[in-house]
Amino acid sequence: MLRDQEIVSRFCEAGHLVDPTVVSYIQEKGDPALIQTILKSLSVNCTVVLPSHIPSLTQRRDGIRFTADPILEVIEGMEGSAGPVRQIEDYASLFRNRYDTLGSLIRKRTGSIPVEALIRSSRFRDSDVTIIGIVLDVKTTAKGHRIIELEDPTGIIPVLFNSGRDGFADAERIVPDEVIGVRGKLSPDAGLFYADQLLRPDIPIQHAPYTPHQSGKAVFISDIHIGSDTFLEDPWERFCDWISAEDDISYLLVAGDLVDGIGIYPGQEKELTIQNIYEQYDRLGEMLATLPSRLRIVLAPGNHDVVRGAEPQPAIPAEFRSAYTPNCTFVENPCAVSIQGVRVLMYHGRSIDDLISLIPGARYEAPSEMMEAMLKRRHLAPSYGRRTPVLATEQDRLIIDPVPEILHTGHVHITGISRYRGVLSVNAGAWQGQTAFQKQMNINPTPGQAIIIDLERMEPQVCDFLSK
Amino acid sequence: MSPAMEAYLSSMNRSLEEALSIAREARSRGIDPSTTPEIPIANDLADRVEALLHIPGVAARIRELEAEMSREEAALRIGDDFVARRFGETSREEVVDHAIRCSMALLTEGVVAAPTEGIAKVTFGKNDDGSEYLRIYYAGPIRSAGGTAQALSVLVGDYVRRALGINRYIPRPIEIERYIEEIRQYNNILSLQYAPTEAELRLIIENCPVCIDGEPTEKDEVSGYRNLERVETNAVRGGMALVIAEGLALKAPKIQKNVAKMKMSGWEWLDTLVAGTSPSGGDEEPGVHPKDKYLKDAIAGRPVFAYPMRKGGFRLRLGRGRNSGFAAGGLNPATMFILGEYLSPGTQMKVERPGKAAGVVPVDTIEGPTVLLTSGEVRRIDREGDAVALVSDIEAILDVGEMLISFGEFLENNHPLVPPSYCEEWWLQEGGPRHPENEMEAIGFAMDGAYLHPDYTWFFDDLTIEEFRLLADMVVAGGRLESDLLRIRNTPEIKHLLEEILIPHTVEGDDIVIRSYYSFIACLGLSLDLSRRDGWKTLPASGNGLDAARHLSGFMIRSKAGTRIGARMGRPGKSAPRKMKSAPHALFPVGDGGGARRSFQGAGAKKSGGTVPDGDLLMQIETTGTVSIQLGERKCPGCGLTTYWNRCGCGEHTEPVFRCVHCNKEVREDRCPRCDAPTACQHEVDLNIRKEYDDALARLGILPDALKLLKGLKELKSRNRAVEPIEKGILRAVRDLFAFKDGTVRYDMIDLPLTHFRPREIGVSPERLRELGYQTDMDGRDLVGLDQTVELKPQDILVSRDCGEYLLAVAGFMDDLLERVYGLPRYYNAETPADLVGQLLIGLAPHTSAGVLARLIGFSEALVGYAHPFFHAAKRRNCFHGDTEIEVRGPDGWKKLPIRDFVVANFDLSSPGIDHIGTFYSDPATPHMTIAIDTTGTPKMRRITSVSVHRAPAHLILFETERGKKLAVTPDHAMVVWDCTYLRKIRAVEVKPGDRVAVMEGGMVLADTIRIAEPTPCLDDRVYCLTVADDHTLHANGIFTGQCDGDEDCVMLLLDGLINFSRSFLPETRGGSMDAPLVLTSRIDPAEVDKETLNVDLVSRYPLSVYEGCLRYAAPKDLEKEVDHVELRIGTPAQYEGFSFTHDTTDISAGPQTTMYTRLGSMVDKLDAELLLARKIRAVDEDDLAERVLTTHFIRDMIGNLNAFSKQGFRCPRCAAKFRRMPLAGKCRCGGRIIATVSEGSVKKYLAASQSICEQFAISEYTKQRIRVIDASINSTFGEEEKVQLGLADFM
Repeated sequence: MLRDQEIVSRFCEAGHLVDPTVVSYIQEKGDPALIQTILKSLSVNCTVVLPSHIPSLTQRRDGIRFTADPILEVIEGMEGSAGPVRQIEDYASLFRNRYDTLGSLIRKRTGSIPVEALIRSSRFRDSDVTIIGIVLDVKTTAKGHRIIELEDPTGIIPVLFNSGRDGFADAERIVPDEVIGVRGKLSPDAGLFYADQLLRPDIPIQHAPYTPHQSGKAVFISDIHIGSDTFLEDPWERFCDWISAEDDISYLLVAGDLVDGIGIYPGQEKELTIQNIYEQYDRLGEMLATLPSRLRIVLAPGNHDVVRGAEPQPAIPAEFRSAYTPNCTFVENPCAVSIQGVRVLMYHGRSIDDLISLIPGARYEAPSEMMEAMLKRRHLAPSYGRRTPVLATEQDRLIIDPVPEILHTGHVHITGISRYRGVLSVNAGAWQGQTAFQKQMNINPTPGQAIIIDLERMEPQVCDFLSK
Repeated sequence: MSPAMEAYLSSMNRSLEEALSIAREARSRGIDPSTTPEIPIANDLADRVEALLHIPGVAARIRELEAEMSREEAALRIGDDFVARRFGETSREEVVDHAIRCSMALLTEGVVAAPTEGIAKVTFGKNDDGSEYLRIYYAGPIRSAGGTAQALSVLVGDYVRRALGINRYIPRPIEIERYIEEIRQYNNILSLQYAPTEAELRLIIENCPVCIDGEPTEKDEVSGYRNLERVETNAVRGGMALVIAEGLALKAPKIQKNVAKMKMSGWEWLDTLVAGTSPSGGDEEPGVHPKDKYLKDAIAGRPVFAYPMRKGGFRLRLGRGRNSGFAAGGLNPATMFILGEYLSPGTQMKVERPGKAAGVVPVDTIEGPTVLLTSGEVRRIDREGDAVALVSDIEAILDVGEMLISFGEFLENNHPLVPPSYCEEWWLQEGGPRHPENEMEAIGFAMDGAYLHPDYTWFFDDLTIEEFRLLADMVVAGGRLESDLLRIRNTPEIKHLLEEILIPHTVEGDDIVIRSYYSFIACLGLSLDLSRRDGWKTLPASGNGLDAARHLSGFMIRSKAGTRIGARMGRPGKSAPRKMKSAPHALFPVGDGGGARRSFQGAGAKKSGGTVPDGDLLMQIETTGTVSIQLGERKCPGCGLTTYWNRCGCGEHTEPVFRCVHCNKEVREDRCPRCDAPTACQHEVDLNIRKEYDDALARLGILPDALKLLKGLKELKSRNRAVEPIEKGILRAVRDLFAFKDGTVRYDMIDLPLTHFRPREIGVSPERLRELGYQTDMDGRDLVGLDQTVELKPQDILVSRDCGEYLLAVAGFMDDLLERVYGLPRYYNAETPADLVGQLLIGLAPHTSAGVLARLIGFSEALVGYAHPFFHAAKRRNCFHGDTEIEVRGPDGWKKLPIRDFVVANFDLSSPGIDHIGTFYSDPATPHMTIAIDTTGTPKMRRITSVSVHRAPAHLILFETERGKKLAVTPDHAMVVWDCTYLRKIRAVEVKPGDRVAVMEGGMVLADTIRIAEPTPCLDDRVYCLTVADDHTLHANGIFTGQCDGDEDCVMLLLDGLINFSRSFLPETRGGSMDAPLVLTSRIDPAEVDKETLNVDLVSRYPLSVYEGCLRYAAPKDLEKEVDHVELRIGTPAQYEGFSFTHDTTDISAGPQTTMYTRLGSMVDKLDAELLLARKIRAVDEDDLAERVLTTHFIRDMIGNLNAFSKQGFRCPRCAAKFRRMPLAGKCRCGGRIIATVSEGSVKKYLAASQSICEQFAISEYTKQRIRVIDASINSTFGEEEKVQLGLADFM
């Protein structure tokens, strides 16, 4: 395999700096000649080599969208699609579906062989091969290497990532149940696979987001927590006043935790100003009813809401919606909505807790890094069985496919924005002050903020309503 | 010491010697792993240290040093001897190693595991300036040493390092950051008792002259400061975190004191630390405000007897019965029957005050309950017989009676004294001339200026002044005196008021009839013609009924109500043979062939014609009873033959052979000198089980048919992989006895204190007792009668009848063993349990490694072990604790509640308590919380009231749940398992696969199922002793477990221990050898036992000053000198004898034999019985209780399981493989079907019951809505079509 340093120095010698994405692309292709090709195509005054400089890799823009359709459309996760569990065995098809879908994304870039073939046949000894699997277990050895148990439909093999090699930092970030490809060699006794390179489904390097032809602005918020004694009434009022006054804002998207709920955590009743769950929803409905009716409001549930906790979570049931005006659309969690053709993937973000606990160096203060982690893995909640409950369904509803223009989450109460390979990730803050639990966990939320995105320009902007 | 006591102790020693000589003889036969008995006898601390560390000669030196200086000083000074290499040290590492271990052993009283297991190794590192520094690697079990010993071990290291001329540790800045990150993280995983601030940590690490390193104990890794050159691991090092946070930071003042004493330099920085960490938090306001902590975990199935300080609750009677004190509270046996027979001797009760729990003992000289019968009659029931006869006629329980609590309990718990119920012993001391013959006389005494006698004092203080007036009005209006009876027209109002004041009355026709009415009408201010007396004109409008009664009657009246104490049922008592999970007869492996029962017969059977799938082929197999199995490799020094038996065919005793696991070379050291790899003693043997078994039978002359089942082990887990002769197992099997992991046979019992007994109640004749040294009764008269009261000697015990029978079987087994295996004469020759009286036993408390020598002197009918408080204290630590991978979450930053209500006076920060068996108690300097679970399954933030410590176990039970949680605990550890709707505490060894435990997942409590429970070595174990307030539970690795309450002990026959116990059987694991009698304490020194005993009071009556103190809520410490108690006698001959008690009881085994709790089978029955009882008891609020059941248990279970349903793991029922998630293939690797671990049924099981409780009781709207929401979520998860709700009973 080509080493990072080699690639970088080759470009350096030619007088160029190089973007890491380009480095990994070249590695993935495994073709040293590619460097020469790129160098040839560069203009003299190019300092940094970007993906766009790679010949034969032109940005592919997905331009075919039927924008004549309604400007707000729920593409996936419309009310009623999240049904009850059919049978617990559906977990098998869920993971199989995840493996197939995400595996094929990797397979597009590299050929792979099944694990069993690798172990059973001597053909692949001593040659570099790629295997694709779903991570079963992640361990660190006594010497600090990582051993991943990788499972594909044919078998399981331990994969060793040497701590001394390039890309080990990436290997340290492997979490259980994500789908990865690994290029490397089988050990002589066929008991271990030595990894050279880690491949993730990832957002295609040439991905370029769709941009709508009409102008428009959407506001992204999350975690309102009506009913809690830490709900920030005044900032919320200011926000409502503001949004009513802004004529060019047409959409308001809320990524869950509309109300504080009841019985979500022990002793919650002492921290509620509204103890009646119906009244909590009614209160929100009344508040939203004061907003202009032109505003299209999308309401998704979160872990505090009245629906089941297992994802996909169904939309808020009709019996709680009596106070809501028709411009409110109730969706499931997760869901994909199209606003003016811009695809927004809404997910409450419960898996962020899991990802933070699994990924070294992850912090609550930087939720957008976890969203990037989701995008790289092309999955909203890769790790099963931790804090995010996932219902046994035939299809894995948490896969990120197709690639959205905007990924919208909440849950951690901290605003975060990032852009990764053309996808804009926004984690909206909350409308609740620091709770006792957050204080205990040393989490400092950034409440009272809304994120406004100009859809045409895809430019996010944070508006702070916390103080006057 | 009196000659009698002298004679007693020396007779014990003689018997011990005799047993030892038999054991030596038996052991010399060579058929056991070693040729001498393996329990060393220790008489004092120095002996124990030497035995623990195997450093010969240390004991003598310790004694010399201890004679001159304090223990802490001696612990440091002993370092000089090691530096001088007086005990044969060969390297510098060894010098430091020995010095630290030895001083820790000294400081921890030679019983905990910390000295051996808490320090992994000691090495030297290189500073950046090229000088050397000392690194001490702490391991998890260091926790058992307690903060002070942990901290002092660093000091010892520093002391020795200087003597060796090694430089101090100079940390790199990046290492300091690593420490800070890591300790933070550790605190998140396993809540530290004290989480030091960043500044404190910096101060400590920058200045500590020794590098505090550690073994990785956690799976979690630090995320920031990784891959440092001088830090070997990225994983979190628990031992290191403990020593720094709970040792150095928390115990800084203590180290400072020692530093000053030893004039050590380089520790001046402690001043800064101490100045900065002055303990915060004041005490809760003392006094008598209702405390409902004990109720927080009130639960389905275990009834509540009284709400906090509520009318009708337990009334405090101050005194000590001969069977109470020492955390046991006396109840009238009638109370036990009336309260649904839930209480029996040995049942634990959770109480409002003064402590948190009390063992129930019968004391029939205190008042019983007052009940309302269906006939309308109100009467007090003091006699057991009456209670049994009337129990079905009870309409309501107006008052549950008195609870006898001793002054010593208040002293022990440092709880302010509170006014007790007025009683005769008090009355007599403040002017009462003698017990009044009748009511007239009592009134006469009162008129003469004495207080009104308690027997004729009614509960006027429970009436408001308005109610009092109303009562008087109605008596005036509706009452008449007829033939010396007071008859009052029955109206609901007056009936109610009479029930309030608990005056006995009957209902005859339309009248209420009061027989004992003089004091009643006098108190109401009425004359004998029921007209108002003059006092009414001046009756103040304020005050309560009692004030009015005093005013109107002119008598001095004290409150009969005194202080009411709330209580609920805790754990039921227990008395049963100890069995390991798979309960082997023989410690001999049979491999997989034995099947689930590990049967020899099964493993040895010839299986022909069976087929096994091998790929696509079916292979014919035929087994001949030969299994291939890992056994210890032993070599005969005589003929050089390799075997696995302890005795070679040539008759010579064999020695274990250790080989390097890498190069397979035989090595004598612990690690291979060439490969530096560990060594192991094992080789694979094709063992013909059938032949070995048949041979053993033949040698014993037992026909194969005589034995249906002989159970062995699946595999050996000890380091030596030693086996015992199969004969031992066969002899156990024929008597239906089971071996514990260490080769002994044990019986477990709840222990209760006893200081005096009567020959009759223990079933032993006075003649026999005289032979045993009981010449006289407590008053000095010759012991001739069955009913004389005799003072119990400190090492004599009573066991339950059941236990007696079991021990008889063990004695028979031992005799068979001696005769037929060892070729020695029979020893016990017992035909009835009574023949065992006078024999010696070993008593062992859970989690300890030091047995205590005991002598059996009789049997109790109650299913408890009665013994002298000293004996219990010698075995026991009072501290609750959890062990091994205990995970306590989240006190960091939790609001620091200034609650210190359980801080025992002598356990302040600078002087942690140390008990005899090596438990250190230390209370947290800053209050810290952990998540505990109550019996209903509600997680609670609970304060850690103290950290105390124990020896780590040799062997742990590893639990694995369906949901993939793992927990290793000591076998005696209390686990909490769901018993339908509440959590029951049982010992870990009793937890079986399939039991449901509560687990914590994502902030939710849910039920999980134990999939595997097996004794196993576990690398990440630790021993852990926390006391968590109130619930005494905490969650470890997500699984909730209890702490061990420490009052359940086991006994074994002395000879069984001496002959059959071997360390070689104990599983190999870090954590040493908890629960095994590694040392036998032959003599109890009251000065060295658990501090709790020091507070056992010994007087026959309390002086008036104590009662007066109670009335002003005095601190018991202030009256310490007024009441003779053990502490005042320490070091004098009176420390062993001449004890007395205030309240006698007829029979120490009175009351129900077993608690109703264990008699009721299903949860439905238990819940019904509990709610029924709640409705009857005046002191209990049944609606509140029902709501508690819902919110704290049912709802939590449903939510938890619902959440868990979508995070669940899977397992293969065929090969028991488990899966964190569904594998891609959808089936197990063995080809088996994979099944879920959380079923729909387990999610729904409480739904119907919850809904029905909502209908029957006044439940809050919030709770009702929660149940509705859960119902909807369940429907949304499983679909709505299933309309038939399953009832609770469907899942029982």
